[in-house]
Amino acid sequence: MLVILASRHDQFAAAAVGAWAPADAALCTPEDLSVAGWQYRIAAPQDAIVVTGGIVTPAAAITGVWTRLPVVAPEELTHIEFADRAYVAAEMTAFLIAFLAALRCPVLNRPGFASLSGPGWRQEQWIRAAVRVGVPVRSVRRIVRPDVFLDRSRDTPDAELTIIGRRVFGSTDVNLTRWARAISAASNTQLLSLRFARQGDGYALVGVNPWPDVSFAGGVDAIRDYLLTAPDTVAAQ
Amino acid sequence: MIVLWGVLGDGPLQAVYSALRARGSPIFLLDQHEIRRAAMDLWVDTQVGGTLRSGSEAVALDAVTAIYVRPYDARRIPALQGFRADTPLWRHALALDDAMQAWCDVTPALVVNRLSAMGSNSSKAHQAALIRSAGFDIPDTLITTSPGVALEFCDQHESVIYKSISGVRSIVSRLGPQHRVRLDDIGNCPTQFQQYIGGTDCRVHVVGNEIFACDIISMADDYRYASRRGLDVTIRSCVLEPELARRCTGLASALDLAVAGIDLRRSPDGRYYCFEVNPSPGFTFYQEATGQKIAEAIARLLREGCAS
Repeated sequence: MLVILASRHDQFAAAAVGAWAPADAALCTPEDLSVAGWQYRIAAPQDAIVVTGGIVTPAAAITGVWTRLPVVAPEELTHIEFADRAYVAAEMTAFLIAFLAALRCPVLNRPGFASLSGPGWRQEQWIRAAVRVGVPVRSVRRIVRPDVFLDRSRDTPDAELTIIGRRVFGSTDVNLTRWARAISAASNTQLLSLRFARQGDGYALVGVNPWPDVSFAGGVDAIRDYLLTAPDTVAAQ
Repeated sequence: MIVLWGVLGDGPLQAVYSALRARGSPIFLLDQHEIRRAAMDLWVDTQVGGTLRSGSEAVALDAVTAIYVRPYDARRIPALQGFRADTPLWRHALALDDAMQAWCDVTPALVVNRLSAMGSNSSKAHQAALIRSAGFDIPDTLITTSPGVALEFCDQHESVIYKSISGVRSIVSRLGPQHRVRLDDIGNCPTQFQQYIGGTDCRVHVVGNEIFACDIISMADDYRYASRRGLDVTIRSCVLEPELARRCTGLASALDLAVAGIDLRRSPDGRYYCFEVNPSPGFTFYQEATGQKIAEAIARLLREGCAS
């Protein structure tokens, strides 16, 4: 079963679940975390029980997860008393980080400490990761003063690529494709968009987004294919 | 140059500041009380550069060789009290926090500790899995939304505690009959239950390759809150067996923490269980009780970062 972890307001996720239905897919929302049935033992993550769409299911039946939430936001939890929402949201996020990190099946993207999907890096960290794998970069700069805040890390890109697993969309440029794969591998983040600007005769990286718009033709199918075909990962356990 | 970031008056920051000053180390203090007079220019490409200012003082970021990180949530510092969240001063405080965090995560300087590594205890359950991977015993731990499953877990163990999963600080409490009747509430939120391990608490501070260990003797389930229950706490230095000490330094290293406070408990049968790793330990509580020179060790580590 493929699982999309998303807001109940995320119509794109709901549509993707519908499109993937032949492959057995389910939507898991923060509301599902308020349904009796979840079980997760740190020493035996493979025996976990989950709730998706209100249905209790063994985690072993999950073959891939696409996470479309950076955190569980208190605003999602309208069924929880207002005064408790922030605490419950933090607890749900912390639980999901542990649960998703321990899954052996493909997870797009595997969580970090700071995000349910991907490492939760700032642009500066993406730029440094790119430098380490030999990708040309453009400087990102912040000026923070009491009277001014300038963030120059958002140049207009001349090329924008989206990587899903090993597949690269948005450009056939050999260098851009190679660089996108290198950054994806270096960050262990298989779903990314990368923005490049012209620099001299080539390009330089100006920014990375681990929350790409995948509404382009073939985007959602590529995610499904990745989840169905990527090898399982040896999790932190 | 060594940068200290936090609030002068915070015990650990003050202690490290004093230890560095006693050694004549060059210090740049970014005191969050002075947020109105603080500024930063940060650029990142193949190098990391810029300038950090606090009042009339300024330091070039590439001249910084070590950073000690103890920031408070900017929204809670006194300088911002009375200001609305949409005011320029608030935005400035949050933007400076974010820029500092970005710098701490990309600078080649020694950072005690990088914010990206400190996140490990934002999910105690994930951290526990990493602790287990590092070779420590952890108590049997269940997270569930099912009251029946929680009751089964309680029946499997002599005694069970519950505590938060996230970094939100909570008082560790033993599950009693008064809680069992409220177990239906866990259907609203995944709740963490843990096998209670009896024995003696042992706090281990890892500072680089140095170890400072102490036993904590208290009747409280959570000794940090013993005084609230009118219970005593006795803290005394102890020496770890070399193999356990190696595992502690290995665990801190695996979590990318140059300084860590590791919470162990030695059970009556001599086994050590690891509960948690604090990436920003409030070590002065233990230092004052034992006389261990933890602040000096951190200062030494920062100075070594300075020399490298």
